[in-house]
Parts: sequence; C-alpha cells; structure tokens
Amino acid sequence: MHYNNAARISREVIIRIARGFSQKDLFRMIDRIPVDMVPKDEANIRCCIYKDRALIKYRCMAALGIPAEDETDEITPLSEYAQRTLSAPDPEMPLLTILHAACTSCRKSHFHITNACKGCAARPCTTVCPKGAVKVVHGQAVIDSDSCVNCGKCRQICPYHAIVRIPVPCEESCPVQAIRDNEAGQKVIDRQRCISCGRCIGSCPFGAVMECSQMLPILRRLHGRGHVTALAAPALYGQFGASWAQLEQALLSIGFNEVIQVAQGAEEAIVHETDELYSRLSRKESFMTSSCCPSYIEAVNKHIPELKPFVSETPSPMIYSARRAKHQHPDTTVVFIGPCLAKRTEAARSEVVDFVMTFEELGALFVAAEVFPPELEGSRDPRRNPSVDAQGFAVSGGVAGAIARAWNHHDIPLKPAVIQHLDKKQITLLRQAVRGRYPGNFLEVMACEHGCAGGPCSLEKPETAEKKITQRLSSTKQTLHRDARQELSPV
Amino acid sequence: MTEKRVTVEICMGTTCFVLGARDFSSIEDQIALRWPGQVEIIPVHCMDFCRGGAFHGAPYMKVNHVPVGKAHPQLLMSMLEEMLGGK
Repeated sequence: MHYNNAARISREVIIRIARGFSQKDLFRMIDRIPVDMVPKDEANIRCCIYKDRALIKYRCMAALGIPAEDETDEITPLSEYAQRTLSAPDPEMPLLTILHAACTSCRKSHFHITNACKGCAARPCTTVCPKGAVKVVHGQAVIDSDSCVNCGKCRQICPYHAIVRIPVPCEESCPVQAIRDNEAGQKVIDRQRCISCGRCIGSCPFGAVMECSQMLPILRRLHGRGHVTALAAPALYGQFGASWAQLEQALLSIGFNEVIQVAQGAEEAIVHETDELYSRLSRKESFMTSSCCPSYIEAVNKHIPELKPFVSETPSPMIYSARRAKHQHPDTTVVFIGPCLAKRTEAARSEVVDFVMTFEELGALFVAAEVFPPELEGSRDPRRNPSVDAQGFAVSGGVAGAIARAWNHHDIPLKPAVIQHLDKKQITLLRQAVRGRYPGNFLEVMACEHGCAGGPCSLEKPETAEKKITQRLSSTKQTLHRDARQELSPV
Repeated sequence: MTEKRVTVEICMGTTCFVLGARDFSSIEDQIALRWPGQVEIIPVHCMDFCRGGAFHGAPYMKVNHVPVGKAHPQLLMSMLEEMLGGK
C-alpha cells in the first residue's frame, strides 16, 4: 500500500472536528476547516485551491455522517450539517459515499493502444480481433471503442506489448460488482450488491470513496454524562505500538467509562462454535463455515444464499462482548472499535451494539485529545487477559486454529481450511463447496487479506499488524484452558 | 572525495503515525538502491512538534537535523535528489 494523500486529509478532517467538538467550538470552526486546511498560499493538489477546498467540505460532510450525494444546495454551511447530525437522536447513516467532485468518472475498463505501436507489417491485432475493432490509421493501430468487446486478444498477441488494459480501480477492487455508472456517467454503489468490505475506499487514487462516519454521535456520548463502553477488537493490538494496558488507559482517557476486549467474547464464541460444529457433523452435515466476518455474511446473504445453511449460527465475538457490556450496565452505549466497515451492518442488525468506530477514527481521536498510547504508563490493574486463541481471531487462520485446539472429539476428525481475501474466485469456490466439492468439514472465511489485521480502516500495514499480533501471541504460553468452558456460560 | 551522507529521522509518534508516517517504509528499498550507503533512515519516538494543536504539520521528519513538516515519501525523494543528485 502506497502513500495516499487523500487518507491523510480525511484523517486530519476528523481530528479537526473532534478538537472543535471537545473545545465546544465546533459550529464556529467547522466552516473554517476547508480554508484552514488549504490556505491561500498552499500549493494546490487539483486544478486550484477552490476545488481542493470544495473537496475538503465534502470530506467534512462524510466525517459528519452525511453522504456528499445528499447535498442539494452548495451554500449550506458545514455548521448546519453538524447541527443536523447532532440534533437527530440516532441519525441513520449510510455506510459509504462517493464524492462525485473527486471522482474522475473513469471510463469503463478498456484496452488502449499506446504509442509503442510501430504499425508493423504483420498487424496481428487487426486479424485476431473477433469484432474487427482494430484498424490502422496513419501508421498506428487504434481500437474502435463502439465495436470492441474487451476480450483482450489484441493485447495478448501484440509483439511489442504496445496494448494496455486501463482498469477502473474501484470496480476492479470490488469482489461483487457493486459499483456501476448511473445515467450521468457517475459511479454509484449498488447497496443491494455491496458487502461493505471497504476495498473501494483504499483503491481509488483520488480518494473519492469515503465512509460516512459515526464520529459525531460517538463524540456526543463520550462528552455526555452517560456510560460508554468501548469494545476493543483484538486487531487493535497491531496498531499503535502500545500494550493492551496502555491502549485501555488511552481509551479511558478519551472518555470511555469501560473497556472490554472483544477477545473475551471470542472465548465464548470458540466454545459455542466448536460445540455447534460437532453437533452438525454428528448429524451428518458435510461442513460448516465460520460466522464472525460480517462482510462474508453479507456476501452469503446477497450473493451465495445457497451457502446459508452451512454458516455457523454462533454469534460473533462482538455480540458476545456487547451482551456482556449491556448485562453489566443496561444503559451503556456500546461502541465497537475495529478495522472493519462491515461491522456497521452487523451492529445495525443487533440490539446490543450502538456504534462502530474505525481504527482510523480512533487514531484521529487520540491525536485530537493529545493522548499518545505508547507514552502512557498503562499502570492500571490489567483485566484478565483473554486467551491466545481468542486474541488470534484478529488474524487469518485464528478461528480455525482456535477450534482445532478446542476440538476433543476423536470420533470425528476435524479437517479445517481457511479462505482469506474474499474475491470473485473465492466466491466461486464457496459456491462449489455447497455442491459437495469441499473435502474438509470446517471452513474459516475472512473477507480481508491477513484477516481483521488487514481491515480496510486500519492504520498499520496489514502484514506488519499481523506480524505484531502473531509475534505477541507466539511469545505467550497461555492457551484456552479446557476448564475455561465452565466459566464461559452465555450472559 | 568522500560521498555525501544524509540522516533522515522519521517521527513515529502517534500523531505522525496516524497522519501517514508509516508510508515511508515503502520507499526505504528504493532509497537504498539509488543512494547505497548514503542515506540513514532512523524511525524515532515523538519529536514533540505536534503538541499544542500543531498536528496539521504532521508527519514530521528531520533531514540532517533540520525539521520538515507535512512530510511524505515523494517529498523526501525529491529532497534527497536535490542533496545527493539523481542517478
């Protein structure tokens, strides 16, 4: 993953909004953000500073939870949008927004003949084309886009490698073809198809796809009088170069009243999922898949419905942890903190998780409050550390590994396998599994490469985050003890 | 004639990390290939430049001990080119 200025700008926007909110100055300063971030003497990124400022305004709208597409009047100030979000008791927020002013409305992916074409005598491109779309004009081959069917045969045959395919990055990254053009040629996300994996966000070189953040309602709770619980995903460990004790202290410093590690919920999930798997296999069912990745669940519901009967019914670790939080404090506001966008869809369906905050947003909040986790003492009494197996849910292979270690049924041998980085090919494989082509009996599916450590809203590089987590876990001797099954009754 | 050397300290404090300091690791190999042995890249703890609301200048780095704000990989590459020459 390379440097992306759009990601930096979006994070700075959230930092400024969070600072404005905590200093009780949001409505005055928010309208200044575009000008403060792109002052007169600043070199422009786009055509001019005015367009740069306009785009920052749309990024502010997304940070306020309002999709840029909702703008009907360019005069409406950001302070009014902020007021709108804050005055709604629980504002409905769509997950993603496309900033059409940032999007260059890339032409449909196509083949292009570059000037490396020598207009050779053989001209194989003209003969290989099944539609006769390649012609030689003034000594150079050109493709007639009206008759081209994008088969790519011309590219394969060109001896000079002069023909390139120009993709549409967001469409290319989407595993379920949920991005399409509307009548005006603008990119839109088809919500009926979208599985909330978030890959389009990182893929757009213009940063035109953004999450509609829940930051503002979360900030309102953190600065209010009510009790707020942070559910910290196990992947958090790989992000800030801090220990769990330091991370917990940092979360308490920015206003949370309590921190629960979601790995505690994973301990319950391991027990129940293992029992469920044994019970299903005893009933001669052929296999079962994991259920903790919400993007995978979206993919099953929207694209592979025939797989539904094979998906575990065990709730995710997030749900177990949230139930625990609500059991302890029935009026608490539960905020799940993770690297994942799709958790928003799972949270919306549940009755126990109120909001979802991404690692990027958490990082911005730390900066706004000048709370730096690696510098904290982290000296408060550490809670019981969840088991290594439960913390391993953060990385690919973690769920399957945990179930394999908890498996004590000698009558049925466990044959697990792992799918990570859900793409078109993997979705086809899953369809084939339903038709009996999967030889194993447990399948862990995580939509992101490297598992949650590689979630779309992480700060750390996926491979580095995964390494940090696995290194820590391999240095710890503790595993899920059999006796733990007694204490892990559902709340 | 001894070769010129450049020391680059990259701040890896929370503010700089959140605002993109991790991206420098993507050009370390390139730098080593273009200017072998001439550039020393040192990730350092928070250099305190971001305190008191000065987060908007992050990520920060120091090139030969001179602080540089809003640092990013392309900026560092062009600075090195200017100091060491393109090859």
